[in-house]
Amino acid sequence: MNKGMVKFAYAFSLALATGGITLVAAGGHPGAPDQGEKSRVIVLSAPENKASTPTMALGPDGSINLIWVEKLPVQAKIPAGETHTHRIYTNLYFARSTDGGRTFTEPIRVNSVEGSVWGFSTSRPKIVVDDSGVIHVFFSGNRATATADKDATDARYTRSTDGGRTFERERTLNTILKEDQSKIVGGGLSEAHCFGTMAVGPDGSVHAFWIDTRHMNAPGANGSIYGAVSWDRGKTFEPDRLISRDTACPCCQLDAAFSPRGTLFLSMRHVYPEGFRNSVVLRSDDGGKTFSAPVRLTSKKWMINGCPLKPAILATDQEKWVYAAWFTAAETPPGVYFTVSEDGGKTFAEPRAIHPGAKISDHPQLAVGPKGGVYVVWDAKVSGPRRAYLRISYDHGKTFGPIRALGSGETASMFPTVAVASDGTVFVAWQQDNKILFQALEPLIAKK
Amino acid sequence: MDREKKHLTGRCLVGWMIAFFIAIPAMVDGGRRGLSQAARASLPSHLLNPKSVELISAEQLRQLLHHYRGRVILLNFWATWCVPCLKEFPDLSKLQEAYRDRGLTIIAVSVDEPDELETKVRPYVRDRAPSFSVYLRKETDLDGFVGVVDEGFEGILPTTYLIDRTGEVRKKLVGRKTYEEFEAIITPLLR
Repeated sequence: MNKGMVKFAYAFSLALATGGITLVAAGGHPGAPDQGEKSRVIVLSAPENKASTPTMALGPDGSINLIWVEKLPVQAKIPAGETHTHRIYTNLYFARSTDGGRTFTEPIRVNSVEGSVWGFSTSRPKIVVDDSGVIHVFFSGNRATATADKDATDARYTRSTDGGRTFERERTLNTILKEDQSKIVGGGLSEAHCFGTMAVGPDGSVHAFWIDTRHMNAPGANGSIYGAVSWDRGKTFEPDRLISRDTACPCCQLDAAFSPRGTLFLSMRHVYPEGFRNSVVLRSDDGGKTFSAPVRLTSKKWMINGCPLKPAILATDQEKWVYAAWFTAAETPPGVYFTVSEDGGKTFAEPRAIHPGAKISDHPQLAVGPKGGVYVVWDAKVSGPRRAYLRISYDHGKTFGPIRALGSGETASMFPTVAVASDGTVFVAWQQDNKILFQALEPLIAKK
Repeated sequence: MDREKKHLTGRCLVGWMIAFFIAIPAMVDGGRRGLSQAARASLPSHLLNPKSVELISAEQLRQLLHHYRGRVILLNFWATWCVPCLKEFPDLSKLQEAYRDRGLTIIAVSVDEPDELETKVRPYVRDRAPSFSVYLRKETDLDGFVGVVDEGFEGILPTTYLIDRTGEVRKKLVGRKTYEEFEAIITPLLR
């Protein structure tokens, strides 16, 4: 039997967490349990490591593909013969289910070198499965610089062409700098090419983007956005090239999404000369060669001289709808907001709070389902520890249904991710107690 | 009987005078330096006067804030990778020097990972030698940690809380503030 494909028995299935989902009034208190939408919660990550930030993608065959990061125990962090390190010693793991989330393959490490992932909650790795079944993964990696004897972060890409049994050795997509920027970049890094994302076009082209420090000339300077494109499903990449210079808030992760016919959308936090930092969307109609001027998700300005660490998450439906969910403090109260563009990203509707009444809400993710379904997950504090939630719109984001709490809520659950099958089955995963938990919900789909 | 009563009264008076002369300077001193015997007893000494960056739990942070009750506190959350935070450090340091004697205590808490004490936080702070105490959170649960002062912490850095002499959070300052901006908000409370 192929060990890599041995189905996990999931002895770790959490009986205590099988409360499934719970309907919650918009004000925030748990209501009656939802009927018939429960399946057991599965633990995917290794118990000895601190696992975080799952990301999920469905394959064309309905497979569920999950990645997450696992931080190694402290004693594994300092290399032999050294007294200290500036690295974040993290691995990236992958697991796959081909039976609707009942069982998963044994998790495998994606990065080829142990501990070489610069991964944490605000630099979330990205996974996309293209229509031919190739699994594309983008993440930030650690690199020791020869010139500065310091660490750097790189934009890295790998793929699996055998259904997730193996991943190719990861490739660095960014140009490696000659100069030591450590006095400018901070955080013990001599250069940084991180907080990136990836989208795969309908033609199989792979577009990776990241925030790059190479043009920074002083501490606190803005980042630039660089990108690299593969036209052969990730086999080879063109050299990286500049997308937007000196405009990016340096630690707010990017996101990208394609429309079915190939319009590319890229989100970033744009730093305006007046000092406000707002999430914006750039549109490309020529496969990422050129991009439109940034379009703000809200007309209100977020004046902040700090590090929000907040991405804007994008999703598209057909050519018309572009959805965005993001944390903003430009609105009152601060929290996760949702907006929709019905003209292909040229304008966006007035943002709406996703979790009114929450003390804080953050870390949204989006998925698009059949019949105009938009599925938003996020985490929020209402009473007690932070908890992951789900909310669904069946009318392209015009209105949303009730707030549904995920998991047991006994301990903090954060950084949820969501994917929706063609029959409306909703798959969710999140981080709780340093573990990655997964749950398949029954179809949640528009009745009409 | 009367003599005994008088004697007792006299002893009480002497006792009160002794208490007065011991307690009042201690209270004054406590007010100036923010020393509270109760809090001093419950907090480890290395957290009261840290010579270097020390790990601190949520409960210890709560005790530390209690310990400095009677003083105006700026509680600053920062991280080594946050450039606006690092730019704020010199202003906070100057501010602490300028207003220490008027009752200001600045406490900076790094939200870097708890296991980055030796690798990141101590080296950074050692190089800069700020005039205020610096800690690193012990808990990985940031919500629970910052929840000591704010249940709605958004995770944005830097975030600074202005706490008045009664221990009440009076202001939440999100993003980097200048020396003058800090000065404008603390001086009304220092009067």
